[in-house]
Amino acid sequence: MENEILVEKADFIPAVQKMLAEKARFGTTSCVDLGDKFELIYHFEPQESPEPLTHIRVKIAKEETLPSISSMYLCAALIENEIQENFNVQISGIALDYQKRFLRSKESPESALLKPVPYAPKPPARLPVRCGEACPAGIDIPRYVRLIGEGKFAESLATIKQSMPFPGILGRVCFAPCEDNCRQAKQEEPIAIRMLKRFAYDHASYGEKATAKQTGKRVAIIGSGPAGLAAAYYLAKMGHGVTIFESLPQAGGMMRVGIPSYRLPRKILDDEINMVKNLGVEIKTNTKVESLDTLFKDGYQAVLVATGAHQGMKLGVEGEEHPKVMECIDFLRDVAFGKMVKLGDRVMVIGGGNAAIDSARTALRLGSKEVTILYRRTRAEMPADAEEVEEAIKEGVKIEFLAAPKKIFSENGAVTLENIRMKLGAPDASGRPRPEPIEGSEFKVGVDSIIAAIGQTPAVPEQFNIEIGRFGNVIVAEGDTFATSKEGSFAAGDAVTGPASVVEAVGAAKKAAISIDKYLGGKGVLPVEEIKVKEPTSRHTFLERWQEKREVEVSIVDGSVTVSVEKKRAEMPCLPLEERLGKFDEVELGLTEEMAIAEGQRCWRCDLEQ
Amino acid sequence: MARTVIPFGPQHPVLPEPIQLKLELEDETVVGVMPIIGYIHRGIEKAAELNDFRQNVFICERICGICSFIHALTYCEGAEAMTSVEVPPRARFLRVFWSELSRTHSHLLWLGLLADSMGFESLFMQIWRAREMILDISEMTAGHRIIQSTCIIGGVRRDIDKEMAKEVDKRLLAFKEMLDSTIAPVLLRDPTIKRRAVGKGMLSKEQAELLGAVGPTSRGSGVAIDIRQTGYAAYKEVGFEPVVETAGDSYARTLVRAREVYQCVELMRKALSMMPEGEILVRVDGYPEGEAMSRTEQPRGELIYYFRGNGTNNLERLKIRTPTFANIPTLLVMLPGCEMADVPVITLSIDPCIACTER
Repeated sequence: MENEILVEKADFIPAVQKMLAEKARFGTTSCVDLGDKFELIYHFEPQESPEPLTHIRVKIAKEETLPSISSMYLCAALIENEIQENFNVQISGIALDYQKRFLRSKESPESALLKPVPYAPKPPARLPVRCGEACPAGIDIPRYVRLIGEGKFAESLATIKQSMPFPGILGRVCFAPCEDNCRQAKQEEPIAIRMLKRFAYDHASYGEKATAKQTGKRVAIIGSGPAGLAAAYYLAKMGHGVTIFESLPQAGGMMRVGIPSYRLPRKILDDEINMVKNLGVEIKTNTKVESLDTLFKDGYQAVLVATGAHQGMKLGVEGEEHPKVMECIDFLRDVAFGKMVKLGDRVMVIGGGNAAIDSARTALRLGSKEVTILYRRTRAEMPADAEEVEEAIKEGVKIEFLAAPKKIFSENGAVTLENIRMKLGAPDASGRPRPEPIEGSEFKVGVDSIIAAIGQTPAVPEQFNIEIGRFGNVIVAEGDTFATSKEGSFAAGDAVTGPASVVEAVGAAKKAAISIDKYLGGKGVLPVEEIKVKEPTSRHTFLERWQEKREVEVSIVDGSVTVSVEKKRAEMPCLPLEERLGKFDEVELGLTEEMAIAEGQRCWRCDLEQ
Repeated sequence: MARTVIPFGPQHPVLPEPIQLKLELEDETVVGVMPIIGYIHRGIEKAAELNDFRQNVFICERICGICSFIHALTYCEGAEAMTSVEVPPRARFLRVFWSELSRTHSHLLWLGLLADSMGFESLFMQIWRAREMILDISEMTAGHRIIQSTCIIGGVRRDIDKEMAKEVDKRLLAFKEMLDSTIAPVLLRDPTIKRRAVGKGMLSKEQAELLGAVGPTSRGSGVAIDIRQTGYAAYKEVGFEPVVETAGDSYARTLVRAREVYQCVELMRKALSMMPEGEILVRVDGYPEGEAMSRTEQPRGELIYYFRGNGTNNLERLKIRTPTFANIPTLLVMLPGCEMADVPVITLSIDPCIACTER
């Protein structure tokens, strides 16, 4: 071609500089692959005349690198990128270097454009729910309820197991604070969360999988109640060697001696205890610990005091020492261990808590004809579980409200109880109205035996040498760490809180186990099994499914239409009344599969939407 | 200040074709821009090496839908130079006619898109209505509204007889009338267009020269580059002076194109009236050998073809440099400093034709 300058690679840049000095305009670059060489022709237009073009022709070997002219002619950067990519010519120092991604940029067809964008609907961020927040053990309640609604019972059980070790026990005896906090409780129809937990345990099995490596550390736990067992479970899962010391002949603590077997069958309790034992936990029954120091001497690095609250409180009335007056805890323990307890026909139970109800119902099962509960307030103030009270009344227990004992004495061979009527006064420190005696309203009742069930306190041996609180005889333990005043010893359960519930003891024990693990040098991380289930992507999809199954009742009153779409809470099938007395068979029979699934689907999924 | 990277495109309402500009923003102000192309690369340069050199005319014509005729013309000019063919004079005048017809409809399309990008729907409709008149002329003379396919190596395939020339002249005058009455006043006086375009996307003369801007983009900055000055086809005979504006903003580029539409009408009428009688096509016997360059002025600017033949039926190399390829670097100086909301109009002001750019 005319006006052509053939240059060597070394002379290339000076030639371009000359073009720049002459104010030539850069046109483009043509590249030709000559087999062993590349030929590059740079086309310039001189400033004076538009035609003809001036060409700088340079030939380079394929492995050679040509310097870029984009520092002089910025507009050459694009074509240099294109040549670099199309011909694999090595050009160094391009002002806008696309790194051989000029025609196939990161966003161009080879990569993102033609590929489907990886889109998987993410489960929405879950909101805190009232039921879950109310649970002392922190169980993911909405999830396990939903899984039962979906028919995934094993996954549901595994979800419960993630945060609580004893679904079999708590599915039967939990007070279910979650149900009180359920949003549907406003219509008196809360989700039957406890029954579903029991259903999951009864209809699915769970194998312990997630267990950490052995650490070689040893922990002693005093007491095999819910707190002791739960702490043992978690400490064993975190790899520590655990020994439980139990003074009674059988493990279980208050679950065994305080809860009658018609509520918690012994087989379930034994199964759960065996589950803990299978993790390598040693349980030494009939072994009373005298001093914490001996445990530390025996090689235990940490001790958890979970002795519970087994000391019955005194009635504080005249004649309390009468031989026919029994502590409810002693009474229930004797029954639990199969001792013959002679009550007689007429039994008076004093107190309004669950222990009182349990004692009364146990007395009926032992053959007593007339069982009366004496309570100084009304039914609304009774601390006992409302369902339990109802069952007790159904079974024939009488409850004498607004009455308190004043004096106990023997009369005509029987025990006579002089009571006084009460009235409700101003609220006291606990928020409940204070009962006030009505002068001159005394009345006498003749009974065969009296069971005092007005509460329990912990009884911590003095030799333990740990600080005891001023009120309620409880152990002083730090709120977060559960550490007591003695180095290396911790406390949890009723021994710290005073008489509470199984689930609270389990929840506290879990935290105590984490604290003990940290004390022993661990990270305090509980081994949790991952559960692979499809999470709902919105509440909407769940509600749609729910709406298909809901029962719509339309009622027309005075021309206005009311649509009731609420499904009723599942009712627990129970043993017929006539089959209950004289036996200790379990009263609650458990939900059927259909009932459980319907109940699980009734949940409003508050965790997905406000 | 919040620094954000916003991908502008590849799919965007004002972009009929895919190009991405990665905009680096500080709050609402553009501080950096990175153009990313390669979404519709078709490998036409390679395809041209594999096909008969005569067939390549139609491949090249399909590089771009708007300036299709000029691609074919550029290819033919180069191929004719390599095969030493003298194109008959009548064919050269007809080539000028169809070139300018392409340019007219391209500029009108662009003016419409500009109005659309400003949200000026009625002006968009009016301009495209005027464009229909040009497309009708295209259909009447070439049998096709867009891809005329009239240019082949050695001349043109269709003639325009006297009667048709008269009708075309009549229609061109009607078209000019319509421009005068509806479109030009709006473009010149409307405050909306001025607010969106005046002072936006500044490109100085020095920057235009340094960045190798071509076509209306450079002419809007006062650089009088127009390859039609070289007198290819019959431009020498028809006579030509480039349209130049000096402001260097989006509005100047708009005015360059608007004035060129009038110029095109005059060039077409001149070409038809000056067209000599005679042959329109000659036989091509040779095969392309050696090297050749061919340059023409597309609606968007200078189009460069580089040919290399080896005496066979196939070309050894065909290199195509399209005007948008040369104009994209100007965005690197036009966009920084502007508001995010002005990016669409400024980007459009270089009249990007991505199909050309990617080939």
